[in-house]
Amino acid sequence: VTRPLQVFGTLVRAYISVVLEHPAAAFLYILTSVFPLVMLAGWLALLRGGATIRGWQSSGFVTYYVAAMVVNQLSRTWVSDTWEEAIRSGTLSAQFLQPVNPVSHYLADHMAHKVVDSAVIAPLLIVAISISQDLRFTTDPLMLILGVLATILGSAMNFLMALCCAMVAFWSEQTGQLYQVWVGIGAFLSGWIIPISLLPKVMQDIARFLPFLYTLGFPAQVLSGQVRGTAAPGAFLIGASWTVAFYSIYRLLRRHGMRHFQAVGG
Amino acid sequence: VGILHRYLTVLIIFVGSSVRQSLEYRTAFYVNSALGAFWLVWATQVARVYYSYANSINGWSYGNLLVLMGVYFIANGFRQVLFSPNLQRIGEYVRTGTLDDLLLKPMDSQFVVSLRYVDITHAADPLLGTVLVIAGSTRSSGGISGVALVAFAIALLSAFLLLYFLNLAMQAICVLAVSPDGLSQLMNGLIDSGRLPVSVYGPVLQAILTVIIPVAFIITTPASILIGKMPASTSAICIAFVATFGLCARLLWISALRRYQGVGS
Repeated sequence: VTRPLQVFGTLVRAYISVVLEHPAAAFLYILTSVFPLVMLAGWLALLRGGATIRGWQSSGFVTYYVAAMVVNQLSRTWVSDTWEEAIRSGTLSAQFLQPVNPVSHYLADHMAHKVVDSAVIAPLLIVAISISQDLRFTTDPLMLILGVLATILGSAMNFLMALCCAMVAFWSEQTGQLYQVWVGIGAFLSGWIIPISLLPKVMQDIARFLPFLYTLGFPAQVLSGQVRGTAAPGAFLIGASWTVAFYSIYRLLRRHGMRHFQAVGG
Repeated sequence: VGILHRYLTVLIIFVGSSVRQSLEYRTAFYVNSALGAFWLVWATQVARVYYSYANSINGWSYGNLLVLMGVYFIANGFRQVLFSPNLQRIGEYVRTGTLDDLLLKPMDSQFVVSLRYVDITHAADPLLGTVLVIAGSTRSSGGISGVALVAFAIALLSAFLLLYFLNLAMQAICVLAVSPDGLSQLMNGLIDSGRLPVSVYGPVLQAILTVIIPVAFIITTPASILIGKMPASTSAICIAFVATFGLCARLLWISALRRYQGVGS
Protein backbone atom coordinates (compact mmCIF):
# COMPACT_ATOMS: atom_id res chain seq x y z
CA VAL A 1 0.00 0.00 0.00
CA THR A 2 2.80 2.41 0.84
CA ARG A 3 4.56 2.03 -2.51
CA PRO A 4 1.89 3.78 -4.66
CA LEU A 5 1.66 6.51 -2.04
CA GLN A 6 5.41 7.03 -2.17
CA VAL A 7 5.27 7.27 -5.95
CA PHE A 8 2.42 9.74 -5.74
CA GLY A 9 4.25 11.83 -3.13
CA THR A 10 7.25 12.02 -5.42
CA LEU A 11 5.02 13.07 -8.32
CA VAL A 12 3.48 15.88 -6.26
CA ARG A 13 6.94 17.10 -5.23
CA ALA A 14 8.11 16.98 -8.83
CA TYR A 15 5.11 19.01 -10.00
CA ILE A 16 5.64 21.54 -7.21
CA SER A 17 9.15 22.10 -8.59
CA VAL A 18 7.65 22.59 -12.05
CA VAL A 19 5.20 25.19 -10.73
CA LEU A 20 8.00 26.96 -8.86
CA GLU A 21 10.04 27.30 -12.07
CA HIS A 22 7.97 30.42 -12.69
CA PRO A 23 7.25 31.89 -9.25
CA ALA A 24 5.90 35.13 -10.71
CA ALA A 25 3.31 33.16 -12.67
CA ALA A 26 1.81 31.91 -9.41
CA PHE A 27 1.07 35.53 -8.48
CA LEU A 28 -0.24 36.37 -11.93
CA TYR A 29 -2.64 33.43 -11.91
CA ILE A 30 -4.54 35.06 -9.08
CA LEU A 31 -5.34 37.94 -11.42
CA THR A 32 -6.68 35.63 -14.11
CA SER A 33 -10.01 35.30 -12.30
CA VAL A 34 -10.99 38.78 -11.19
CA PHE A 35 -14.63 38.04 -12.07
CA PRO A 36 -15.82 37.84 -8.41
CA LEU A 37 -14.30 41.28 -7.81
CA VAL A 38 -16.16 42.64 -10.83
CA MET A 39 -19.44 41.30 -9.45
CA LEU A 40 -18.50 42.73 -6.05
CA ALA A 41 -17.85 46.17 -7.53
CA GLY A 42 -21.35 46.10 -9.04
CA TRP A 43 -22.98 45.33 -5.69
CA LEU A 44 -20.93 47.97 -3.89
CA ALA A 45 -22.08 50.52 -6.47
CA LEU A 46 -25.69 49.54 -5.71
CA LEU A 47 -25.08 49.84 -1.96
CA ARG A 48 -23.51 53.30 -2.16
CA GLY A 49 -25.34 55.61 0.21
CA GLY A 50 -25.79 53.02 2.96
CA ALA A 51 -28.58 50.92 1.46
CA THR A 52 -28.83 47.20 2.16
CA ILE A 53 -29.96 44.38 -0.09
CA ARG A 54 -32.04 41.79 1.73
CA GLY A 55 -30.05 42.49 4.87
CA TRP A 56 -26.69 42.27 3.07
CA GLN A 57 -24.30 45.13 3.80
CA SER A 58 -21.12 45.95 1.95
CA SER A 59 -18.96 43.99 4.42
CA GLY A 60 -21.02 40.86 3.74
CA PHE A 61 -20.46 41.17 0.00
CA VAL A 62 -16.75 41.96 0.34
CA THR A 63 -16.13 38.99 2.63
CA TYR A 64 -18.19 36.59 0.53
CA TYR A 65 -16.64 37.46 -2.85
CA VAL A 66 -13.08 37.46 -1.52
CA ALA A 67 -13.75 34.06 0.07
CA ALA A 68 -15.24 32.86 -3.23
CA MET A 69 -12.16 34.06 -5.08
CA VAL A 70 -9.86 32.20 -2.68
CA VAL A 71 -11.92 28.98 -2.81
CA ASN A 72 -12.04 29.18 -6.59
CA GLN A 73 -8.28 29.60 -6.74
CA LEU A 74 -7.92 26.44 -4.65
CA SER A 75 -10.47 24.35 -6.54
CA ARG A 76 -10.21 25.41 -10.20
CA THR A 77 -8.73 22.84 -12.53
CA TRP A 78 -7.66 22.52 -16.15
CA VAL A 79 -7.72 18.74 -16.25
CA SER A 80 -10.39 18.60 -18.97
CA ASP A 81 -8.21 20.75 -21.25
CA THR A 82 -4.88 19.09 -20.48
CA TRP A 83 -6.31 15.57 -20.77
CA GLU A 84 -7.85 16.38 -24.15
CA GLU A 85 -4.57 17.92 -25.28
CA ALA A 86 -2.69 14.81 -24.12
CA ILE A 87 -4.99 12.61 -26.20
CA ARG A 88 -4.65 14.85 -29.27
CA SER A 89 -0.86 15.09 -29.05
CA GLY A 90 -0.37 11.44 -28.21
CA THR A 91 1.25 12.15 -24.82
CA LEU A 92 -1.44 10.08 -23.16
CA SER A 93 -0.48 6.94 -25.05
CA ALA A 94 3.03 7.28 -23.67
CA GLN A 95 1.69 7.89 -20.17
CA PHE A 96 -0.36 4.71 -20.36
CA LEU A 97 2.87 2.77 -20.89
CA GLN A 98 4.20 3.90 -17.50
CA PRO A 99 3.49 1.67 -14.50
CA VAL A 100 1.54 4.56 -12.92
CA ASN A 101 -2.10 5.45 -13.49
CA PRO A 102 -1.92 8.46 -15.89
CA VAL A 103 -4.57 10.25 -13.86
CA SER A 104 -2.14 10.44 -10.92
CA HIS A 105 -0.03 12.83 -13.03
CA TYR A 106 -3.02 15.16 -13.41
CA LEU A 107 -4.03 14.83 -9.75
CA ALA A 108 -0.44 15.48 -8.62
CA ASP A 109 -0.31 18.54 -10.90
CA HIS A 110 -3.63 19.78 -9.45
CA MET A 111 -2.40 19.30 -5.87
CA ALA A 112 0.98 20.89 -6.57
CA HIS A 113 -0.73 24.02 -7.89
CA LYS A 114 -2.94 24.16 -4.81
CA VAL A 115 0.02 23.85 -2.44
CA VAL A 116 1.84 26.69 -4.17
CA ASP A 117 -1.34 28.78 -4.50
CA SER A 118 -2.06 28.41 -0.77
CA ALA A 119 1.43 29.62 0.03
CA VAL A 120 0.94 32.63 -2.27
CA ILE A 121 -2.59 33.46 -1.09
CA ALA A 122 -2.03 33.17 2.68
CA PRO A 123 0.23 36.23 3.10
CA LEU A 124 -1.88 38.28 0.67
CA LEU A 125 -4.98 37.39 2.66
CA ILE A 126 -3.38 38.35 5.96
CA VAL A 127 -2.40 41.74 4.55
CA ALA A 128 -5.90 42.22 3.11
CA ILE A 129 -7.60 41.35 6.42
CA SER A 130 -5.41 43.74 8.37
CA ILE A 131 -6.02 46.60 5.90
CA SER A 132 -9.71 46.19 5.14
CA GLN A 133 -12.37 46.67 7.76
CA ASP A 134 -14.98 45.09 5.52
CA LEU A 135 -13.20 41.76 5.31
CA ARG A 136 -14.68 39.80 8.21
CA PHE A 137 -14.05 36.09 8.00
CA THR A 138 -15.39 33.84 10.72
CA THR A 139 -13.33 33.88 13.91
CA ASP A 140 -14.94 30.75 15.32
CA PRO A 141 -12.16 28.12 15.24
CA LEU A 142 -14.63 25.28 14.58
CA MET A 143 -16.09 27.11 11.57
CA LEU A 144 -12.60 27.91 10.28
CA ILE A 145 -11.69 24.23 10.40
CA LEU A 146 -14.97 23.34 8.72
CA GLY A 147 -14.27 25.98 6.08
CA VAL A 148 -10.86 24.53 5.30
CA LEU A 149 -12.32 21.00 5.15
CA ALA A 150 -15.13 22.22 2.89
CA THR A 151 -12.56 23.86 0.60
CA ILE A 152 -10.55 20.63 0.36
CA LEU A 153 -13.71 18.63 -0.35
CA GLY A 154 -14.73 21.20 -2.95
CA SER A 155 -11.33 21.07 -4.61
CA ALA A 156 -11.42 17.26 -4.76
CA MET A 157 -14.98 17.24 -6.09
CA ASN A 158 -14.23 19.87 -8.69
CA PHE A 159 -11.26 17.85 -9.92
CA LEU A 160 -13.37 14.69 -10.20
CA MET A 161 -16.18 16.60 -11.92
CA ALA A 162 -13.74 17.97 -14.50
CA LEU A 163 -12.16 14.53 -14.81
CA CYS A 164 -15.54 13.04 -15.78
CA CYS A 165 -15.74 15.69 -18.46
CA ALA A 166 -12.17 14.91 -19.51
CA MET A 167 -13.12 11.25 -20.09
CA VAL A 168 -15.57 12.40 -22.76
CA ALA A 169 -12.45 13.28 -24.77
CA PHE A 170 -12.18 9.59 -25.64
CA TRP A 171 -15.21 10.11 -27.88
CA SER A 172 -15.24 13.84 -28.74
CA GLU A 173 -12.75 16.55 -29.64
CA GLN A 174 -14.80 19.38 -28.14
CA THR A 175 -14.41 18.49 -24.47
CA GLY A 176 -13.02 21.90 -23.54
CA GLN A 177 -16.15 23.61 -24.84
CA LEU A 178 -18.43 21.05 -23.16
CA TYR A 179 -16.73 21.77 -19.84
CA GLN A 180 -17.12 25.53 -20.42
CA VAL A 181 -20.89 25.16 -20.84
CA TRP A 182 -21.06 22.91 -17.77
CA VAL A 183 -19.17 25.47 -15.70
CA GLY A 184 -21.14 28.36 -17.19
CA ILE A 185 -24.48 26.85 -16.16
CA GLY A 186 -23.04 25.82 -12.82
CA ALA A 187 -21.91 29.39 -12.18
CA PHE A 188 -25.48 30.46 -11.38
CA LEU A 189 -25.95 27.66 -8.86
CA SER A 190 -22.46 27.54 -7.34
CA GLY A 191 -22.45 31.03 -5.87
CA TRP A 192 -19.83 32.22 -8.41
CA ILE A 193 -22.09 34.99 -9.73
CA ILE A 194 -24.27 35.71 -6.72
CA PRO A 195 -24.39 34.34 -3.16
CA ILE A 196 -27.10 31.68 -3.31
CA SER A 197 -29.03 33.19 -0.42
CA LEU A 198 -29.82 36.08 -2.80
CA LEU A 199 -31.28 33.73 -5.42
CA PRO A 200 -35.04 33.06 -5.60
CA LYS A 201 -36.14 30.41 -3.08
CA VAL A 202 -36.78 27.74 -5.72
CA MET A 203 -33.28 28.15 -7.17
CA GLN A 204 -31.78 27.93 -3.68
CA ASP A 205 -33.51 24.61 -3.07
CA ILE A 206 -32.35 23.25 -6.42
CA ALA A 207 -28.80 24.46 -5.83
CA ARG A 208 -28.67 22.74 -2.46
CA PHE A 209 -29.03 19.31 -4.06
CA LEU A 210 -26.75 19.86 -7.04
CA PRO A 211 -22.97 19.51 -6.87
CA PHE A 212 -21.93 23.04 -7.93
CA LEU A 213 -22.60 24.76 -4.59
CA TYR A 214 -20.17 22.49 -2.76
CA THR A 215 -17.28 23.31 -5.08
CA LEU A 216 -17.45 27.04 -4.30
CA GLY A 217 -20.36 28.73 -2.57
CA PHE A 218 -20.62 26.50 0.47
CA PRO A 219 -16.95 26.72 1.52
CA ALA A 220 -17.07 30.47 0.88
CA GLN A 221 -20.18 30.85 3.04
CA VAL A 222 -18.62 28.85 5.89
CA LEU A 223 -15.39 30.88 5.76
CA SER A 224 -17.29 34.16 5.75
CA GLY A 225 -19.44 33.03 8.69
CA GLN A 226 -22.70 33.12 6.74
CA VAL A 227 -23.72 29.55 7.51
CA ARG A 228 -24.85 28.10 10.82
CA GLY A 229 -22.83 25.18 12.17
CA THR A 230 -25.96 23.03 12.31
CA ALA A 231 -26.27 23.20 8.51
CA ALA A 232 -22.77 21.82 8.03
CA PRO A 233 -23.34 18.03 8.49
CA GLY A 234 -26.09 17.92 5.85
CA ALA A 235 -24.02 19.96 3.42
CA PHE A 236 -20.95 17.79 3.90
CA LEU A 237 -23.09 14.70 3.36
CA ILE A 238 -24.45 15.97 0.04
CA GLY A 239 -20.99 17.15 -1.05
CA ALA A 240 -19.36 13.83 -0.15
CA SER A 241 -22.11 11.89 -1.95
CA TRP A 242 -21.51 13.85 -5.15
CA THR A 243 -17.77 13.29 -4.80
CA VAL A 244 -18.32 9.53 -4.61
CA ALA A 245 -20.78 9.74 -7.49
CA PHE A 246 -18.32 11.60 -9.72
CA TYR A 247 -15.61 9.08 -8.86
CA SER A 248 -17.89 6.22 -9.95
CA ILE A 249 -18.85 8.04 -13.14
CA TYR A 250 -15.18 8.64 -13.87
CA ARG A 251 -14.38 4.92 -13.41
CA LEU A 252 -17.25 3.93 -15.65
CA LEU A 253 -16.43 6.42 -18.40
CA ARG A 254 -12.79 5.53 -18.27
CA ARG A 255 -13.39 1.80 -18.61
CA HIS A 256 -15.58 2.28 -21.67
CA GLY A 257 -13.44 5.10 -23.04
CA MET A 258 -10.26 3.04 -22.90
CA ARG A 259 -11.78 0.45 -25.20
CA HIS A 260 -12.70 3.21 -27.63
CA PHE A 261 -9.27 4.84 -27.29
CA GLN A 262 -7.44 1.57 -27.99
CA ALA A 263 -9.68 1.06 -30.98
CA VAL A 264 -8.65 4.47 -32.31
CA GLY A 265 -5.03 3.76 -31.50
CA GLY A 266 -5.25 0.69 -33.71
CA VAL B 1 3.81 53.20 -51.08
CA GLY B 2 5.95 50.26 -52.19
CA ILE B 3 6.65 49.31 -48.57
CA LEU B 4 3.01 49.60 -47.58
CA HIS B 5 2.03 47.40 -50.51
CA ARG B 6 4.61 44.79 -49.52
CA TYR B 7 3.39 44.69 -45.92
CA LEU B 8 -0.22 44.50 -47.06
CA THR B 9 0.59 41.58 -49.37
CA VAL B 10 2.35 39.71 -46.59
CA LEU B 11 -0.53 40.43 -44.20
CA ILE B 12 -2.98 38.91 -46.67
CA ILE B 13 -0.75 35.83 -46.95
CA PHE B 14 -0.59 35.57 -43.13
CA VAL B 15 -4.36 35.73 -42.81
CA GLY B 16 -4.89 33.36 -45.72
CA SER B 17 -2.60 30.69 -44.31
CA SER B 18 -4.20 30.95 -40.86
CA VAL B 19 -7.68 30.68 -42.30
CA ARG B 20 -6.76 27.69 -44.45
CA GLN B 21 -5.25 26.03 -41.41
CA SER B 22 -8.35 26.51 -39.30
CA LEU B 23 -10.63 25.35 -42.13
CA GLU B 24 -9.31 21.90 -41.29
CA TYR B 25 -11.22 22.22 -38.03
CA ARG B 26 -14.66 23.29 -39.20
CA THR B 27 -16.44 21.78 -36.22
CA ALA B 28 -14.37 23.96 -33.90
CA PHE B 29 -15.72 27.02 -35.72
CA TYR B 30 -19.36 25.98 -35.33
CA VAL B 31 -18.91 24.86 -31.74
CA ASN B 32 -17.13 28.09 -30.80
CA SER B 33 -19.84 30.17 -32.47
CA ALA B 34 -22.49 28.32 -30.46
CA LEU B 35 -20.37 28.80 -27.37
CA GLY B 36 -20.11 32.54 -28.11
CA ALA B 37 -23.91 32.75 -28.23
CA PHE B 38 -24.09 30.80 -24.96
CA TRP B 39 -21.74 33.24 -23.19
CA LEU B 40 -23.67 36.18 -24.63
CA VAL B 41 -26.94 34.95 -23.13
CA TRP B 42 -25.06 34.09 -19.95
CA ALA B 43 -23.75 37.65 -19.66
CA THR B 44 -27.23 39.17 -20.10
CA GLN B 45 -28.55 36.89 -17.35
CA VAL B 46 -25.72 37.87 -15.03
CA ALA B 47 -26.61 41.53 -15.63
CA ARG B 48 -30.25 40.75 -14.86
CA VAL B 49 -29.21 39.62 -11.37
CA TYR B 50 -28.41 43.23 -10.45
CA TYR B 51 -31.53 44.63 -12.03
CA SER B 52 -33.76 42.38 -9.96
CA TYR B 53 -32.55 44.50 -7.02
CA ALA B 54 -32.21 47.98 -8.57
CA ASN B 55 -33.21 49.96 -11.66
CA SER B 56 -29.75 51.26 -12.45
CA ILE B 57 -26.10 50.80 -11.56
CA ASN B 58 -24.37 54.18 -11.33
CA GLY B 59 -26.98 55.58 -13.72
CA TRP B 60 -26.71 52.70 -16.23
CA SER B 61 -30.08 51.14 -17.05
CA TYR B 62 -30.40 47.51 -18.19
CA GLY B 63 -30.55 48.65 -21.82
CA ASN B 64 -27.44 50.75 -21.33
CA LEU B 65 -25.59 47.83 -19.78
CA LEU B 66 -26.57 45.62 -22.74
CA VAL B 67 -24.86 48.12 -25.05
CA LEU B 68 -21.78 47.93 -22.82
CA MET B 69 -21.86 44.11 -22.90
CA GLY B 70 -22.19 44.25 -26.68
CA VAL B 71 -19.10 46.45 -26.96
CA TYR B 72 -17.33 44.03 -24.58
CA PHE B 73 -18.14 41.13 -26.93
CA ILE B 74 -17.09 43.07 -30.04
CA ALA B 75 -13.78 44.13 -28.50
CA ASN B 76 -13.07 40.80 -26.84
CA GLY B 77 -14.02 38.94 -30.01
CA PHE B 78 -11.61 40.94 -32.14
CA ARG B 79 -8.95 40.45 -29.49
CA GLN B 80 -9.41 36.69 -29.63
CA VAL B 81 -9.46 36.61 -33.42
CA LEU B 82 -6.57 38.94 -34.23
CA PHE B 83 -4.36 39.46 -31.20
CA SER B 84 -4.50 36.60 -28.67
CA PRO B 85 -3.17 33.95 -31.08
CA ASN B 86 -0.01 36.03 -31.42
CA LEU B 87 0.34 36.71 -27.70
CA GLN B 88 -0.05 32.99 -26.99
CA ARG B 89 2.91 32.20 -29.21
CA ILE B 90 5.45 34.76 -28.02
CA GLY B 91 6.55 32.69 -25.01
CA GLU B 92 7.26 29.80 -27.36
CA TYR B 93 9.19 32.07 -29.76
CA VAL B 94 11.51 33.07 -26.94
CA ARG B 95 11.90 29.61 -25.43
CA THR B 96 12.58 27.79 -28.69
CA GLY B 97 14.65 30.53 -30.28
CA THR B 98 12.16 31.12 -33.10
CA LEU B 99 12.32 34.81 -32.22
CA ASP B 100 15.91 34.98 -33.52
CA ASP B 101 14.68 33.58 -36.79
CA LEU B 102 11.85 36.11 -36.95
CA LEU B 103 14.23 39.00 -36.25
CA LEU B 104 16.29 38.04 -39.30
CA LYS B 105 13.31 38.29 -41.65
CA PRO B 106 13.35 41.32 -43.95
CA MET B 107 10.27 42.78 -42.27
CA ASP B 108 9.70 44.82 -39.15
CA SER B 109 9.86 42.43 -36.20
CA GLN B 110 6.79 44.00 -34.59
CA PHE B 111 4.76 43.26 -37.71
CA VAL B 112 5.78 39.61 -37.92
CA VAL B 113 5.40 38.95 -34.21
CA SER B 114 2.08 40.71 -33.66
CA LEU B 115 0.11 39.98 -36.83
CA ARG B 116 1.27 36.53 -37.95
CA TYR B 117 -1.75 34.49 -36.83
CA VAL B 118 -5.51 34.95 -36.75
CA ASP B 119 -7.98 32.57 -35.12
CA ILE B 120 -11.24 32.69 -37.02
CA THR B 121 -12.95 30.19 -34.72
CA HIS B 122 -14.02 33.18 -32.59
CA ALA B 123 -15.16 35.29 -35.57
CA ALA B 124 -18.82 35.08 -34.54
CA ASP B 125 -18.27 36.97 -31.26
CA PRO B 126 -18.05 40.49 -32.77
CA LEU B 127 -21.21 39.82 -34.79
CA LEU B 128 -23.06 38.59 -31.71
CA GLY B 129 -21.81 41.66 -29.84
CA THR B 130 -23.18 43.93 -32.57
CA VAL B 131 -26.60 42.32 -32.19
CA LEU B 132 -26.46 43.02 -28.45
CA VAL B 133 -25.45 46.67 -29.04
CA ILE B 134 -28.46 47.13 -31.32
CA ALA B 135 -30.80 45.37 -28.89
CA GLY B 136 -29.49 47.45 -26.00
CA SER B 137 -29.69 50.77 -27.79
CA THR B 138 -33.32 50.21 -28.84
CA ARG B 139 -34.10 49.60 -25.15
CA SER B 140 -32.23 52.75 -24.07
CA SER B 141 -34.34 55.88 -23.87
CA GLY B 142 -33.74 58.61 -26.43
CA GLY B 143 -32.77 57.89 -30.03
CA ILE B 144 -29.21 57.64 -31.26
CA SER B 145 -28.04 60.56 -33.33
CA GLY B 146 -25.98 60.24 -36.49
CA VAL B 147 -23.16 62.21 -34.86
CA ALA B 148 -23.07 59.78 -31.94
CA LEU B 149 -22.91 56.88 -34.38
CA VAL B 150 -19.92 58.34 -36.22
CA ALA B 151 -18.19 59.15 -32.92
CA PHE B 152 -18.93 55.59 -31.76
CA ALA B 153 -17.29 54.19 -34.89
CA ILE B 154 -14.19 56.33 -34.26
CA ALA B 155 -14.05 55.30 -30.59
CA LEU B 156 -14.45 51.63 -31.53
CA LEU B 157 -11.66 51.89 -34.08
CA SER B 158 -9.44 53.44 -31.41
CA ALA B 159 -10.42 50.55 -29.14
CA PHE B 160 -9.16 48.00 -31.69
CA LEU B 161 -5.87 49.86 -32.03
CA LEU B 162 -5.59 50.05 -28.24
CA LEU B 163 -6.14 46.29 -27.97
CA TYR B 164 -3.45 45.78 -30.58
CA PHE B 165 -0.95 47.96 -28.74
CA LEU B 166 -1.87 46.47 -25.37
CA ASN B 167 -1.17 43.06 -26.87
CA LEU B 168 2.15 44.31 -28.24
CA ALA B 169 3.12 45.68 -24.83
CA MET B 170 2.31 42.28 -23.29
CA GLN B 171 4.46 40.60 -25.94
CA ALA B 172 7.31 42.95 -25.09
CA ILE B 173 6.95 42.06 -21.40
CA CYS B 174 7.01 38.37 -22.38
CA VAL B 175 10.30 38.88 -24.20
CA LEU B 176 11.74 40.75 -21.22
CA ALA B 177 10.57 38.31 -18.56
CA VAL B 178 10.57 35.06 -20.56
CA SER B 179 7.43 34.21 -18.63
CA PRO B 180 5.29 31.26 -19.64
CA ASP B 181 2.00 31.78 -21.42
CA GLY B 182 0.43 33.15 -18.24
CA LEU B 183 0.22 36.68 -19.67
CA SER B 184 -2.30 35.61 -22.27
CA GLN B 185 -4.45 34.10 -19.51
CA LEU B 186 -3.97 37.29 -17.54
CA MET B 187 -5.37 39.35 -20.41
CA ASN B 188 -8.39 37.05 -20.56
CA GLY B 189 -8.98 37.69 -16.87
CA LEU B 190 -8.34 41.43 -16.81
CA ILE B 191 -10.62 42.20 -19.75
CA ASP B 192 -13.46 40.83 -17.57
CA SER B 193 -13.36 44.10 -15.65
CA GLY B 194 -14.94 45.72 -18.73
CA ARG B 195 -18.21 43.87 -18.15
CA LEU B 196 -19.26 46.81 -15.96
CA PRO B 197 -18.76 50.55 -16.54
CA VAL B 198 -15.42 51.52 -14.97
CA SER B 199 -17.18 54.10 -12.80
CA VAL B 200 -18.22 51.30 -10.40
CA TYR B 201 -14.62 50.76 -9.36
CA GLY B 202 -12.72 52.76 -6.75
CA PRO B 203 -10.54 55.73 -7.82
CA VAL B 204 -7.23 53.80 -7.85
CA LEU B 205 -8.63 50.93 -9.93
CA GLN B 206 -10.31 53.41 -12.25
CA ALA B 207 -6.99 55.12 -12.87
CA ILE B 208 -5.30 51.78 -13.64
CA LEU B 209 -8.17 50.74 -15.92
CA THR B 210 -7.92 54.05 -17.76
CA VAL B 211 -4.20 54.44 -18.32
CA ILE B 212 -2.36 51.11 -17.87
CA ILE B 213 -4.92 48.51 -18.92
CA PRO B 214 -7.18 50.94 -20.73
CA VAL B 215 -10.46 49.02 -20.41
CA ALA B 216 -12.14 52.40 -19.91
CA PHE B 217 -11.16 53.51 -23.43
CA ILE B 218 -11.70 50.09 -24.98
CA ILE B 219 -15.19 49.35 -23.66
CA THR B 220 -16.79 51.97 -21.40
CA THR B 221 -16.06 55.01 -23.57
CA PRO B 222 -17.40 53.72 -26.93
CA ALA B 223 -20.56 52.48 -25.18
CA SER B 224 -20.99 55.80 -23.34
CA ILE B 225 -20.62 57.78 -26.58
CA LEU B 226 -23.23 55.67 -28.37
CA ILE B 227 -25.88 56.04 -25.67
CA GLY B 228 -25.11 59.71 -25.16
CA LYS B 229 -23.54 59.53 -21.72
CA MET B 230 -20.44 61.15 -23.16
CA PRO B 231 -20.37 63.86 -25.87
CA ALA B 232 -19.33 62.86 -29.39
CA SER B 233 -16.23 65.02 -29.02
CA THR B 234 -14.84 62.44 -26.55
CA SER B 235 -13.76 60.41 -29.57
CA ALA B 236 -11.03 63.01 -30.16
CA ILE B 237 -9.61 62.16 -26.73
CA CYS B 238 -9.68 58.48 -27.74
CA ILE B 239 -7.55 59.21 -30.79
CA ALA B 240 -5.06 61.24 -28.77
CA PHE B 241 -4.84 58.50 -26.17
CA VAL B 242 -4.28 55.76 -28.75
CA ALA B 243 -1.47 57.75 -30.33
CA THR B 244 0.27 58.13 -26.96
CA PHE B 245 -0.35 54.56 -25.84
CA GLY B 246 0.75 53.18 -29.19
CA LEU B 247 3.98 55.14 -29.10
CA CYS B 248 4.75 53.83 -25.60
CA ALA B 249 4.02 50.25 -26.66
CA ARG B 250 6.25 50.59 -29.73
CA LEU B 251 9.10 52.00 -27.61
CA LEU B 252 8.62 49.17 -25.08
CA TRP B 253 8.88 46.61 -27.89
CA ILE B 254 12.07 48.18 -29.26
CA SER B 255 13.70 48.33 -25.84
CA ALA B 256 12.64 44.74 -25.13
CA LEU B 257 14.37 43.61 -28.31
CA ARG B 258 17.49 45.56 -27.40
CA ARG B 259 17.60 43.76 -24.06
CA TYR B 260 16.88 40.44 -25.74
CA GLN B 261 19.80 40.78 -28.12
CA GLY B 262 21.92 41.65 -25.10
CA VAL B 263 21.01 38.29 -23.58
CA GLY B 264 21.70 36.44 -26.81
CA SER B 265 25.16 37.82 -27.46
